[in-house]
Amino acid sequence: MRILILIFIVFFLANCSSKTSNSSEEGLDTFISELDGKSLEDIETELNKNTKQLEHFIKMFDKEGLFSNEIKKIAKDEEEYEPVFKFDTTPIDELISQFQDISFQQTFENHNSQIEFSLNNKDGFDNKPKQVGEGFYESYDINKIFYSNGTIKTDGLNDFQVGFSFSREMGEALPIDSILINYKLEHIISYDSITVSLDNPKMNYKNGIITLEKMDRNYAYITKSDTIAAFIEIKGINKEGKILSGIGSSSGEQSPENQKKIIEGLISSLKLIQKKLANNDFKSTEELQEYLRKKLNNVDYFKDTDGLYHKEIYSKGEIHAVRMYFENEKETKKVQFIAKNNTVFGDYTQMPITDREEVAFINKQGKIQFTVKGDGFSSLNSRYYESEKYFHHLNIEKKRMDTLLVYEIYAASNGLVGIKKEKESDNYSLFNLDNKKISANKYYKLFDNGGILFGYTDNYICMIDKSGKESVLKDIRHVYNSSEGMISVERNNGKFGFLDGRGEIAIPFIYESVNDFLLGYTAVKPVEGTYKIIDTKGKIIVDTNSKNLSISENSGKRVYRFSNNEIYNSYGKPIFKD
Amino acid sequence: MKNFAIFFIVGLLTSCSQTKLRFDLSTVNSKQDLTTLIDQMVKNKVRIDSSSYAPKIVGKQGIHYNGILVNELTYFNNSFTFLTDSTDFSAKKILELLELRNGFGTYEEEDGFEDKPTFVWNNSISKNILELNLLNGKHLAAMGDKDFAKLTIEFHKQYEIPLANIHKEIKKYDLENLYALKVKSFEYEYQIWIDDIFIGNFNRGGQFIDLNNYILENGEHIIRYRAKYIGNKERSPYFEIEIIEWSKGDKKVIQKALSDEENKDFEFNFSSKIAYNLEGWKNGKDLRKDKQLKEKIIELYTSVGEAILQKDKQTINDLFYDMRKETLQVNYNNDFTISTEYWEYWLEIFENTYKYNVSQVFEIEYNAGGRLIYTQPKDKSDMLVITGKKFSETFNHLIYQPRGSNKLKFIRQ
Repeated sequence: MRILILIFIVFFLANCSSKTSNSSEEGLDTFISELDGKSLEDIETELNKNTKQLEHFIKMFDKEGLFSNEIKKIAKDEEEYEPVFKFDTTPIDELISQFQDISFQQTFENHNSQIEFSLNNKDGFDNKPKQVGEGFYESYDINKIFYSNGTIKTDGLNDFQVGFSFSREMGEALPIDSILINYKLEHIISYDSITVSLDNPKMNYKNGIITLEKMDRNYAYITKSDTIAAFIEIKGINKEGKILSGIGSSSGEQSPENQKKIIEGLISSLKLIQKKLANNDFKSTEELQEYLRKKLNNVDYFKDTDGLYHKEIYSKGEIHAVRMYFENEKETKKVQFIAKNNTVFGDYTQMPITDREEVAFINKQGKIQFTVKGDGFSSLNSRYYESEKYFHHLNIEKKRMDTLLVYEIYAASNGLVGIKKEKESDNYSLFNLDNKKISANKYYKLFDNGGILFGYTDNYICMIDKSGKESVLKDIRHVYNSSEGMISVERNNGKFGFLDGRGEIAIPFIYESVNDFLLGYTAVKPVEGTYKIIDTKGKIIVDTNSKNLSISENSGKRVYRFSNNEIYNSYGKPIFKD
Repeated sequence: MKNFAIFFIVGLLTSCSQTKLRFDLSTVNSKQDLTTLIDQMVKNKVRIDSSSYAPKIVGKQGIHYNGILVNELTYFNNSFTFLTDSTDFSAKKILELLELRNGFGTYEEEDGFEDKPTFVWNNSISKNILELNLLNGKHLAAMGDKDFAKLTIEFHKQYEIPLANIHKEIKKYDLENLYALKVKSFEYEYQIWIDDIFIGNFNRGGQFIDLNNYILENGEHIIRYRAKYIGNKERSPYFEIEIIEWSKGDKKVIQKALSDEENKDFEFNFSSKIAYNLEGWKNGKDLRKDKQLKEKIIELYTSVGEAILQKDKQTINDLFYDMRKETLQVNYNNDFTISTEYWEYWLEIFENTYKYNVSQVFEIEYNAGGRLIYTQPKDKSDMLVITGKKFSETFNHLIYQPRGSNKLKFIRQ
C-alpha cells in the first residue's frame, strides 16, 4: 500500500499526458481496488506509516509551495546545447524484424500458467527486444495459444500480456507448445513545431491554446489545453536560437502553486481516515472502500478543474523561447511471430498453491496427480528437489515428497545424482531418479562437462553414463572445460589434449598449454614449441614463432595476440601482422 | 576516585551550552536502555525522521553525550550512531571522555584520503567506534574547536548460558607460561607421548604441538617418542625434538633431543612452571577394567546428538562446560569473543542439524594409567557426525570418568 500511495501521488502530480478528469477517477478506483482482501488492521498500519512519509515529503516543497529545481542564471560560457529535434525512423526495420527467434519459459502457480518471454540473440547477451524511443508506440497482442494437448485458444486473450522482464499470468495451467503474437509498431511520420516567447506568449493550436505563463532565467512554465495531445518534445531556446539542454522538468494536471495544497489536503483527508480507523468506525474493508470513494471523489484535488496541462522546464542556459513538437501523422507497421516454449517438462511439474501452502504435481496434460505440503521446491532435476532446509525426493509410487536427510546432492545432467551422506569429506554415491543406489560411495568429485558426467576416484577418472556404468579415462589426471564439444584434458605426464563427447581422443596429448575452443578454433602450445591456432580436428591454421599469448574476448568474439605482434581474430584470420 | 573527579569536572565543563540537555546517551548501556531513552524522547515530542531505513533525529533537541551536544542521532535495533556538534572542541572532549571510561582504545589506520582517525573499544557489552573528523584541527594532538566526532555503539548479544560466559571464570596470572613441542623430521614416522598420554601418530614432516593441553599443574613431565625412518636414503635421516617455553612473549628452548638413527625410542624430562592447577583427569577412575565402557562411550556421544536435535542448550552446557573451561584456562584465555563465538557456533549447530550418527565400532586408547581415554572409530571417520543441509560437524574428544560418578565426561578436544 505504501508504494501504491506514492505511485498515486507521483502519477497524479507528474502526469504528462493531457487526460480528462475521468482519468483521475480511474486512478482513484485503481487505488481503492488495491485494498481488496486487505484487513483493516493492515490498512491502518500502512496508512499510519504512509501519512508520516507524506508529511516528510511535503517538507521538500519550498516556502512558495513549489517542488522545484533551482531557478538560476547560467553564464553564457556554461550553456549547453542539443541538436535540433529530428525524428529518427532508422530503427523501424530493425524493430519490426527482431522477432526471428522468440521463446518462453512456462511455470505454473495457483492453477495458472506464468509465462516469461525471451528474445534469443546469438550475438549479444540481452534477451529483451530493443527499447523504442520517443515517437514510437508498440504493442503486443496474443493472437492464439497452441497447447500441447492439441487445443487452440483464440478467445479471452485480451487480458494476457507479453513480458520479457518477468513472468506474467497467461491462463490455465496447461503445457503450451507455442504462442502466436501480433506486434504493432506505430510511429510518427510528420510533426508540428510550436514556439512561444515573451513576444508571442499565446498560440492557438488544434482547438486549444498554448500559453507561456512565466519565464525567468533558465526556467519556463507552460500550460496547454487538455484538448491538445501530448508533445513529443519540449525545449528551451536561447537568444541565438540554439536548443538548450534540459536540467529537469515537472508536469501535471495541477498548477505548481496548487501541488503543495493538494498534498496538504490529501494529508488532512488521510488523517481523518486514520482517526476513523483508530475509533473502529468501519466494520469491514468494503465499508472503508465505500467511504473512500465518496469522500475522496468529491474533493477538488482529485479533479482536474482548470482544463489545463501544466509543464515546467529548467534548461542549461537562459531561455528566450520555448519550442514544442507535436505528432501530426502516424504510420502503423505490423508483424506476426511465433514464440516457442523451451521449457522442459518432466512427467511431473510442480504447481504451488499458495493459499493452501501446498504444491500440486501435474502431468504433461496438465492434470493434477497429487499434492504435497510445502511452499514450493527448487528443482534439482525431475525427481530431486531442495527447500531452504532440506533435500527432497519425489516419490511417485507413494505420491509424496520424501525428505532426504543427507549432507549434499549433486544433480548431473544425465539424470543421476551423487549423494554425500553425512559430511563434506564423504565421497559421493550414485543414485538414479527413483532414489535407488547404483554405486558405492567412491567419487570424491563429480562434475558435468559438455553433457558428460565425470567421476573422480582415488585411483582414476571416468565418464559415467546414465545407468552408472564407468568408462575409465586411462592416464588422465584432470578434466578441464568443455567447449564446442571438445573437452580439454591433462594426462598424468602433464601434457594436454582434447577428448570428444564420447571420451575418445580427438586431438592428441602433445601440448603444454591449451585454451577453450571458440567458433571452431583455439590456441595451443606444443611442448617446447611455439603457439598455434588449430581447428577442432587439430589442423594448424596459424603457426607462429611466439612463446607468449594473450587472449581477449568480447561479445562472443576473440582476439589472439602473440608476443611477436601478430594479432588474429576468432577464426584465425590476421587482424594486424608486423 | 581521581578518574571520577576528572570525569565529573570534564562533564561539568562540557555542559556549558545554551541548549537544554535533556537526553544523555552516555547512560545507554544496553539495547533496553536505548529503547527506554527513545521512548522518553518520543514522549517529549522530539522530532524523529522515520522516512529512511533507520530513524534519525537531527538538530539541537537536547540530546547529549555526558554534556557534549549531539547534532544528529541515528538508531537501529541494536546500535546507535551520533555526530557531535562541531563547536567547542567536541571531538577532543569525547575522546577524552571515552579514554577515561574505557582506557585507551585501539587506534585504526586511516583508510583513504580523508583525515579521520578512528579508535575502537570492544568489550563484552558493546563495541564503540569513534571516528574523529578534523575540520580545523591539523592532527590528533592539535584538534581544533570545529572538529566533530562520530560515535557508533553496537551492543553485543548477551547470553545467560554459562558456556557463553566462561571467559569470566578464567583466571589471569603474572606467570602465564606456555609449552610446546617442536619436531623437525625428514622422512620419519613417529609417535609422541606426554606423561603417558598418547598425543598422536605423525608422518614424514615436522609438527608443532601445544603441550599445556596435557599439563594439569606445575611439575616434572616425561616426553616419550618413538621414531622410525621411512625414507629412501637420498637424504640423511634427521629427527629433532625441542620443548619450547613461552614466558611473557619470550621464547626459549628448554630441552632438545637429536637423532640420526633409523629407529629411536627416547624419553626425556622437563619441568614446567605453571600457575594454574586443574582437576582434569587427575582423580578420574581407571577405566581399563570397566566392562561397560563401550556402552558408556556410545551413550555419551548419543546424548550429544540427542541434545542437538532437541536444541537442548542446558544439556550441551553440562556436557561441554568443564572441557571448555579447562581448555581456555590452560591458555589463560579470557577473551569474551572466544566464549561468545563458541556459543554462537552451538546455536548454528542447533539450527542446522537434522541427524546424527554415532560410531558403533571403535578401538579404545587408554592413557594416564587408564584415567583418560580416546577412541579410534573403525566404521566412521569420527565418533559423532552431525549432518544438516550442506552442514556437518564431527566430535571425537578425550574422555574421563570423574571420581564419585558413574558417567563419562569430555575433558579435552
